[in-house]
Amino acid sequence: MARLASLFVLATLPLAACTPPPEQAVEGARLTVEAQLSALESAARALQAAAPAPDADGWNATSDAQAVAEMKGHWRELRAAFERIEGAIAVLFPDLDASADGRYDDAVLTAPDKDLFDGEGFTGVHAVERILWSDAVPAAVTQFEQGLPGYEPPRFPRTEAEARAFKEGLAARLVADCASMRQQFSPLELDPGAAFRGVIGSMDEQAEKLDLGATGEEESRYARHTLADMRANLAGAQAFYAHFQPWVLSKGTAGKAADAEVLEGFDALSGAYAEHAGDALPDVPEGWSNLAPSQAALATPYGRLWTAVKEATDTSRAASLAGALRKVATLLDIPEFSQ
Amino acid sequence: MRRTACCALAAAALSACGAQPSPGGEDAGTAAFIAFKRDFADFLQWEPFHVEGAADHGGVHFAGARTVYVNQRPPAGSTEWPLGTVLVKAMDDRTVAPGTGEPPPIFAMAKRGGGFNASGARGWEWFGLVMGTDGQPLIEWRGLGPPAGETYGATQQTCNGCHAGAGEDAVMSVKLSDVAR
Repeated sequence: MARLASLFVLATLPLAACTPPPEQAVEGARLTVEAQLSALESAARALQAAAPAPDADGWNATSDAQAVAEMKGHWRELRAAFERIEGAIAVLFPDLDASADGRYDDAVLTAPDKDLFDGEGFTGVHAVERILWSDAVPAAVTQFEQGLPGYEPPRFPRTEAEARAFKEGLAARLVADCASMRQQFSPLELDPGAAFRGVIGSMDEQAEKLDLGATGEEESRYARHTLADMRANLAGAQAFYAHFQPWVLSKGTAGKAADAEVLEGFDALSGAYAEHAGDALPDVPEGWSNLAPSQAALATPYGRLWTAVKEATDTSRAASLAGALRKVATLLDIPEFSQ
Repeated sequence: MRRTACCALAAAALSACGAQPSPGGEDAGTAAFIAFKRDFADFLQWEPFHVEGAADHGGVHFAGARTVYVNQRPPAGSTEWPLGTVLVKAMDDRTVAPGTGEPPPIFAMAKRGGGFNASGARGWEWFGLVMGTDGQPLIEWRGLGPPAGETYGATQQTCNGCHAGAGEDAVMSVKLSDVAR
């Protein structure tokens, strides 16, 4: 884990001054993605390796507590790596993003998935999460999923065949998908728009996650890890932006002003996340409405977080972090994200 | 890290290229052509294939004269379009689409390979383009189809819905058998 963390730090440091700022930004973003894809694949392989050897009664969080704890640890590493770069890569690998990071509700809309453990149907990091935390699924999540067509309750593998399918099917598919993303990304030469999507996409991710938290549909819903995902999204956005910062600052007074707005926005959002301990989103207040939240609801921990994220990601407000990032895109002549 | 080493590393990194189109239409393994904005630049200069008076396809491709621009012809005898092929379909009148008051959409398809779109038009990635103020196309959306909420014709048709079963390696307006000679 320490090695992975230092790799992230290395990859997120802006390239040295020998490269012109635009090329520095694009190549830095590419290296950031590459480092996180390597971390992602390593974590997926470690999770698969930690899955207990198949035996007659499968495995569970009681009789195989150590192995399950180890798998959960690798799952968290995997999430951190993925969420730091998802904003940049999801659009490039939509099919792999769906199979590696798809949600149960999306998967079963296509077809019911009666076999939770194989590498078909509902697959990926959330399919693994649904099994690893199957004994602790929040009530709101169960209530939401029970209404889905072909709902299959989550559980640990109970037989040798199911345990084998988990290790050689579901976990192996996750490894293969992560490896495929890394292999396909490695030779790519990004352009400024694709690189800057790392910043913009990471911000968009946060807004969506919080809204879904109100209905039991949140992304890492079984492990209650969605706030940690959002922190990783923000860390990713900051890391990508760090590569663009020298380019922004090279634009004189306008660049310095835009940079200050962006940094202020990042600080404000980091501060909002720091108010909440743990990995889970705060509890959603009774009667919450995204469209017309009451003052009392907005004063709750969930309401305060919702307000902070909405303010940061509102592209219609020039004073928001998202607005400041679009000013940067305009300044750098990145038309995909210009105002 | 010393400056010379830094420069060498950066130069080496910057010299890496995107996956190059390979001949023969191979679509196996992980080889993939992932297109970026630069891959659509100056598409109006590519070889044009004019389609006169084409019918309205459910409001997706508007009725009227249009042109398909192809970045490279397939090698003679090809049975599939090669990896790296890009086709852009644009109405000849790109000012206003009928009944919309807006420019008609510009669509593109790129032969990506690498197992992409395995259950649809195998190997093809779909794109929606818009023209930027500099006259160059920007990628508005990309992937297995348009994103949710994207206006895409009057019906529920999808890119794969029509193209996947069309034969000729999923390209409908330009016949592979005519150009791979």
